[in-house]
Amino acid sequence: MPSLKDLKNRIESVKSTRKITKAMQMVAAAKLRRAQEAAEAARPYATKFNEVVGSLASSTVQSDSSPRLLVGTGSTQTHLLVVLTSERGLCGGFNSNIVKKVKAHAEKLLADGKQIKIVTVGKKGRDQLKRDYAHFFVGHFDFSDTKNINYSNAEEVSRDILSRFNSDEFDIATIFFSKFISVVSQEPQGLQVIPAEFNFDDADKSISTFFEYEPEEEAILKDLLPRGVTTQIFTGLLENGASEQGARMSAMDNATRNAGDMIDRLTIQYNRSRQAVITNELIEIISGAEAL
Amino acid sequence: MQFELVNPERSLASLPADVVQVPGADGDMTIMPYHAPLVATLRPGVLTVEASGETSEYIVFGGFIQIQENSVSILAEKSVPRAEFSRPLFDEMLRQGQDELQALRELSSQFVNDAEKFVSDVKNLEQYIFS
Repeated sequence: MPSLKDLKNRIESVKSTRKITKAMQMVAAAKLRRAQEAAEAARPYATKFNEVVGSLASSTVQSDSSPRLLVGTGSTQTHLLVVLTSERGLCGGFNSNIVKKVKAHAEKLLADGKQIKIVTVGKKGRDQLKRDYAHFFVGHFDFSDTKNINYSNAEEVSRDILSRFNSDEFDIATIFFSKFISVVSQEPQGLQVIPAEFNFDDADKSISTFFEYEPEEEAILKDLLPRGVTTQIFTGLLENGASEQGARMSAMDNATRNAGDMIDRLTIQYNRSRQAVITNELIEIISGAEAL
Repeated sequence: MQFELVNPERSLASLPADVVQVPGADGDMTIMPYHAPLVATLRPGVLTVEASGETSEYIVFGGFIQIQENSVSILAEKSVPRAEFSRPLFDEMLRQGQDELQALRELSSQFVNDAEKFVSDVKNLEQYIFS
């Protein structure tokens, strides 16, 4: 049976925890709005870009001279997994969900006898993967100093990946991130970026237009495909940004509510034991008086 | 014709325009309404848009233009209104181009020409803007 003093201390400590989680929730809500706006603002570029590259890619004949970023190296032996996670914790299952997805993918590849390499972006994912996959790590990006993810961050990552691709370090690259659906739901997913995959259904619509190309199609593709990788990484980073804040917001909301429940429970316990103490004292006084 | 300029972070302009001048990879182009459908890459340079008597200028780096059904879309990795273009940003561009050139020279790859062209294009831009 904890003493009254202990109970009082616990109530105080839970109260200050609740203050912190409440504040974090509100900060996350504000940041979420900004992150969502950023993701929204970036959408026209990504959509248009994929549309153009998609229609280009589907209209050019695939030949030996086709860019390797489009047709691949001809092998599927070595996979590069690019894991995008957050730099900060306390955001519910956000990072674990991405890591779980990565692990499932990695296990499948390993079971098929493929080789894997892992590049991590964000400290949290790295920490979680370190235990089982540390020997597959080939690179890490730390954006903990960056307040708002911008395009040059994505460029940094894609430049590294492309240079690895050009030096034949891997055949297929997949990025893992969490797609923002709503505050309570984020969907971790893997997206293959090298060789590029396009949704040709979307591209079919614009194919009917006959375009002039300057310079010729292949040169444009060569110029655009590396940018496509950057665009996809950027989209991934932005989706992740919104997902992280959404996950944090709901996690902190839960925590705040839990803290409230706990305070209620502890307060009842505190009041009861205080009452018990008073009753005890009264009994002592009364029985003392009766004994006289 | 409808003119749109977007960079990866935001949409810079979306307005009906009369004339658009773009720095195409193989030379400057002036686009008038009802231009034939076109896809072209851009070199670093100045983009000029004339809309209802007003002319606005943008600096664009690395991107492409798509013309389709009387609408002009320009997607540029880096694009800023000329007024916002500053020396540090320019230096950053030039440094990036030079780094790339350096790296490619070491690899003796076939893209050296492209990188050289990029750097000289950026340098031309310097004369245009800052002198």
